[in-house]
Amino acid sequence: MKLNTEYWGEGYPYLNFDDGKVLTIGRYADTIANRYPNHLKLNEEFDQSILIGTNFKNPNSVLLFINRLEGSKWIETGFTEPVDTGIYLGALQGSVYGTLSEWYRNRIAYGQTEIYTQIRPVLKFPFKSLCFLVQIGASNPLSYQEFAVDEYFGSENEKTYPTINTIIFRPCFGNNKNRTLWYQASGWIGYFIPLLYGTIDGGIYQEDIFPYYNNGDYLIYGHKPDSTFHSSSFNIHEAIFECPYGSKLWELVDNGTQVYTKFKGTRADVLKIIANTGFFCATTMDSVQHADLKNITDPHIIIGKMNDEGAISDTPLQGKDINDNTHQTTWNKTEDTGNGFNGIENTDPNNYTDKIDLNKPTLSNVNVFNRSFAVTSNNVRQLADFLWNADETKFNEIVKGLALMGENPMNGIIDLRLFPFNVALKNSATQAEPIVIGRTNTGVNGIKLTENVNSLIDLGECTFFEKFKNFLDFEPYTTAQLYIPYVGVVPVSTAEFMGHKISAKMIVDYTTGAGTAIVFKDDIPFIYKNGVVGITIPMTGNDSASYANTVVGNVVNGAVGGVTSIASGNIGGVVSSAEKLYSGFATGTNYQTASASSPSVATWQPQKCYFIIDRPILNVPDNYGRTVGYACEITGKLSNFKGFTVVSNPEISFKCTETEKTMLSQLLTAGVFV
Amino acid sequence: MAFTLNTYYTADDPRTISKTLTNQLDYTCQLLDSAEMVTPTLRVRCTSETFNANYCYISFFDRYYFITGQTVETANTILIHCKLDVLYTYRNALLSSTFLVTRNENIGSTYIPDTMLPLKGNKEMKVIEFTGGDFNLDTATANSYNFVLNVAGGGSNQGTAENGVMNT
Repeated sequence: MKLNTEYWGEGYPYLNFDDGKVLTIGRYADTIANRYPNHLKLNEEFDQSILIGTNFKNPNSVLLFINRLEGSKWIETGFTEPVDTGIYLGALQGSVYGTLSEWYRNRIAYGQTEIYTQIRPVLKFPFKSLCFLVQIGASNPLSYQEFAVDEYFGSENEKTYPTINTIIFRPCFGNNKNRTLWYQASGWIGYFIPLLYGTIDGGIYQEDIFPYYNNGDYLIYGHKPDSTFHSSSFNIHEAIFECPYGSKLWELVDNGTQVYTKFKGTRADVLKIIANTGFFCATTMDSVQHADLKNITDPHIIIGKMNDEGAISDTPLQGKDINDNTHQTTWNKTEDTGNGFNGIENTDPNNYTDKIDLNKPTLSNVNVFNRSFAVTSNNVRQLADFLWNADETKFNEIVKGLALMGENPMNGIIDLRLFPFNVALKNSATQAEPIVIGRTNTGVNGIKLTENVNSLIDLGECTFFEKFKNFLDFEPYTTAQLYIPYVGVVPVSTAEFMGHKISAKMIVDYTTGAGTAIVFKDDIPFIYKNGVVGITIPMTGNDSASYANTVVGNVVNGAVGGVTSIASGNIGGVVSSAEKLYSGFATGTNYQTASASSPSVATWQPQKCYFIIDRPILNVPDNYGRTVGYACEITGKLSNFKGFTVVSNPEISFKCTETEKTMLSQLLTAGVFV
Repeated sequence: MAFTLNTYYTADDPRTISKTLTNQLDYTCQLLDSAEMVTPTLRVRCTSETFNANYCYISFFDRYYFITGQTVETANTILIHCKLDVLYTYRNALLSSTFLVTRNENIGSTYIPDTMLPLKGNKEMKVIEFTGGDFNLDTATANSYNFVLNVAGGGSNQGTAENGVMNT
């Protein structure tokens, strides 16, 4: 672990292990209050140097919220979406810190006042000295029992207790070969659990992630049968259960007297949940105590595969397959856990940011010399009626009032545009007032835009998930484009946006009708594209002729080329012709395949953003792995691999003849069965 | 020169490192004068079982061989044609050696591009609609403030024709 000692210091020496290393535990609240008040602040980003790894869109982060009692039944109110998480080892033990029991405040950093979390992040620990026993909590109508995973599935226990309610992780600490069961341990040893750090942005609350409703000495997914939900004191509160993979694997059951979760998955699903924790886990009581975690042969030892960058997956490795096949196996020293998350060995002096804010100008071009009003189409009609007033006296008053404009009333109207959103909602002023043209009160009301009018228009958001969970999710296999109304289709890099929230906003110029769409990757503005979003409403013969000339002229020059290019599949040609298409407009545009002949035409095109993904279709035979093998780049003992295996440029370093070396090399390069 | 020959039957693919050998039979055999180590030919006194063997161990070479063919020489002897199996012969050394593995049956699909993975010529298009957004043209009415009117004049404290300031 590359511990950030500027934040965490050395922690608190706590436990000694066989290898002479010291486990140190720091308490976040104490650290802030007593040791590093100038560095650490509550409600700021949690320092990540204690993370052992990350798990993007971690399925284990899914929570089930229930907060509604309908009649005699509790109703599930939904599962949250998986979020990116960091994974670390935490110790849970309740105590009072501040004025309330810490049991009720699990947060690490956010939303803190005087009540702090009982969680103590573990700063350093010997990774191969810790193994979690994974248990299945199962019930029948009479009772609830807990069994090690492989002492449940396929056994009499599964028949006797057919309903799985919970999945439980209990810590066993010691050394790589002998570990103490949690209930036989003293002190903190029995309180370690794998913890998630991330922020839920769905559901009912904005919360950090970590175990909810735990008793402080183990991690539990799901909820065992519980009658307290029907007591009068409890049924006014909400409840949150951790349910990895959400509705795919869990459902809420209320039989009228007890509330519980029902796990619908298989042993394989349990192994995926185990994998997502990133820690060594065991599926039998014997293995959790005695399996060797440095040279693994016990098939009941499971761990989630982690790459060299610290990304944990839901791919479980078992037994011998673990050795040299996942990054955690390289952590032989206490300091090894973790792979450099803002750690002290980072010598890059740059202050990186994961958020770039757009500017909110305090000055704008609206209402500086002339006046701008948000009006309805009814207002526009009333205005036209007023300006074309049949009353000669009134008409002359209007003309006199516009003496500055050469006594032509139409010169007093600079511009009228239709926008595809409610302009008044973006304006801080909401009171309608009469529209004055020159010095003439038209008697028609509009909402005068202020200098502070909001020019930032929200175009919505989506999240781009992997499908194959391999190289096929990226270019050139999977390609993606983003359709933005009034702008066109923008090619986006799947590698850049995969797994991230994609949102789009548009900055609008109310004076010219121009707009710039900005595509965000999470909180970073990533792509800028121009378009025309305000549709000019012709008001005079000159305006109409000019408008028509611009549009028709460009359609003739550009659109035909665009159609031809589309038909031939020449995207580059489309871009080129599309650029010509709008060359006559006030601002440059980059319409591509979704170009429209005018902004007015674009109002008939889809008004939402769409993420268009082209994915390859696999045609993989069942025996592909057996006959060709899946691509990998792994260095290891040949005995660690199973099945068809191809070796690159093998070096034969044992005693044999040159002819035999050549034969061996040829065979290994062509593929052998191990 | 006479020495021991052990013949076997194996159903494993020749490319299998750790083969399963069954039906062991032991013979005393002779090496032909011109036999070499990679593809030797042996003379053995045959039995009815000899023709069922497809694999053998030659103690003289201390190596394992595929039996590639058998030629009847006399009524009692046959010639066994062999080919060296380096994989099984050096199985222990091989399995304990470290290599860079570029393809494996059980590793599963990874983020390393696999140019050999068969894909269909067509592609599957999926569209995700963004949620949220301010655009409202599909629901706007004649009373929606979707128009912006830019006009000259109309500033603060400005008189109008109607209130008489214009004439002062």
